[in-house]
Amino acid sequence: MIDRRSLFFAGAAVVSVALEPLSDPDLRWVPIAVSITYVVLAVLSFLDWSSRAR
Amino acid sequence: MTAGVVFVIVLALAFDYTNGFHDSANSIATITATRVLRPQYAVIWAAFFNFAAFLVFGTKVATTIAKDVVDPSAGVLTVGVVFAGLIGAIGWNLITFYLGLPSSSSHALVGGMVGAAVARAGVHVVKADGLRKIGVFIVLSPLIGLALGLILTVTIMWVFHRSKRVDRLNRSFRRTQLVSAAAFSLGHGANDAQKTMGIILVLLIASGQVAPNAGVPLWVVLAAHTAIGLGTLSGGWRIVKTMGSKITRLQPVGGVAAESAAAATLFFTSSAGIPVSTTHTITGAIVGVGATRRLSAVRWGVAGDVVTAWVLTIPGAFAIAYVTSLAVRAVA
Repeated sequence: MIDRRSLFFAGAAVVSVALEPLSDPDLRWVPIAVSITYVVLAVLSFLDWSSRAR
Repeated sequence: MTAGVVFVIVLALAFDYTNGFHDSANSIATITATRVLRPQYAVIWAAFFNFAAFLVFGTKVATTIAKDVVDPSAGVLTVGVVFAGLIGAIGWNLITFYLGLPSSSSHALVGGMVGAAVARAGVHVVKADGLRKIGVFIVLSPLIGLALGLILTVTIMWVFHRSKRVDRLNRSFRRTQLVSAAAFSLGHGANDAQKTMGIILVLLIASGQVAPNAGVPLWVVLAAHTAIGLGTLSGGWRIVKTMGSKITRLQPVGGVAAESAAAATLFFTSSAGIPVSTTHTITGAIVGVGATRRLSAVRWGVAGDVVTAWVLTIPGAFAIAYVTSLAVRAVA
């Protein structure tokens, strides 16, 4: 059993970071910021899920 | 101005009107679902802020549509090509409406413009940089809305978790929804009306009414905002099922968070000159609010519709516009 929400957030982080090379130079910070946000959300969601599971 | 140019301008404004009509549910869903305003007042509220957007935002999105999708210096953007592009977008929207497939007017417009221009002059007239910028934010805007919706909901819950006056809190959030719905309508008006302005600007440049480096004339700005505002005003009357209950059950707190998250995303993209789908942005934000509970609280079929629309819309509108452009050329 695994936390599907953290998996979803991790997937969103991967998609966002994959868009970074395609972005305008002025706007490259956007996919990076979105990706970092989703990594943080994935970690927090996993911690929330594991604390509930215990 | 020739009759052909006037006809295509009217067609572009009709597209803008249907956009407002179609999207009014997004703007007023939560304030009507929570009975903050009756639907007839809610649509007036949303339409007013759709119109007022021209006072707040510039015309960067319009410039992107007019100058960053198809190279205007290539001389391919004739009245016939713009007409074919619009037919591609409108035709695709009608087909998907009839078949019940998910779509996005914004993506359809871009697909239509590209299809019509490629049919006339080949792929070299397409501006890859502009398309890439739009393509990146087709995917990013719902993801930004989702993350902001989730973060806002968690923050609000954390700030008010000690509050024992739940009724009072709910009342105050119901009132706050007036502000968040206004902000979303402002963002919707800014981003979507500007797409029509971009099309009309292309047309005016193509017909020699304005110089190639000209900005958007004020009458175009006012006409586009009026059309989308009138569309919103008419669309609200036929609302049966709201976005709020289609994706996940929203409380006033969730409504405020979703609308604020989507508004912030639209403010940012409009200021940066990036055309995005307002429907996909609010869908992402509502999914984000639902995801604070658990993933099963979200009806993922609706989120899947967004992905389907990403895949289908641009090629679909492209194909219709391509064929229309060839037909217009043959007739002309």
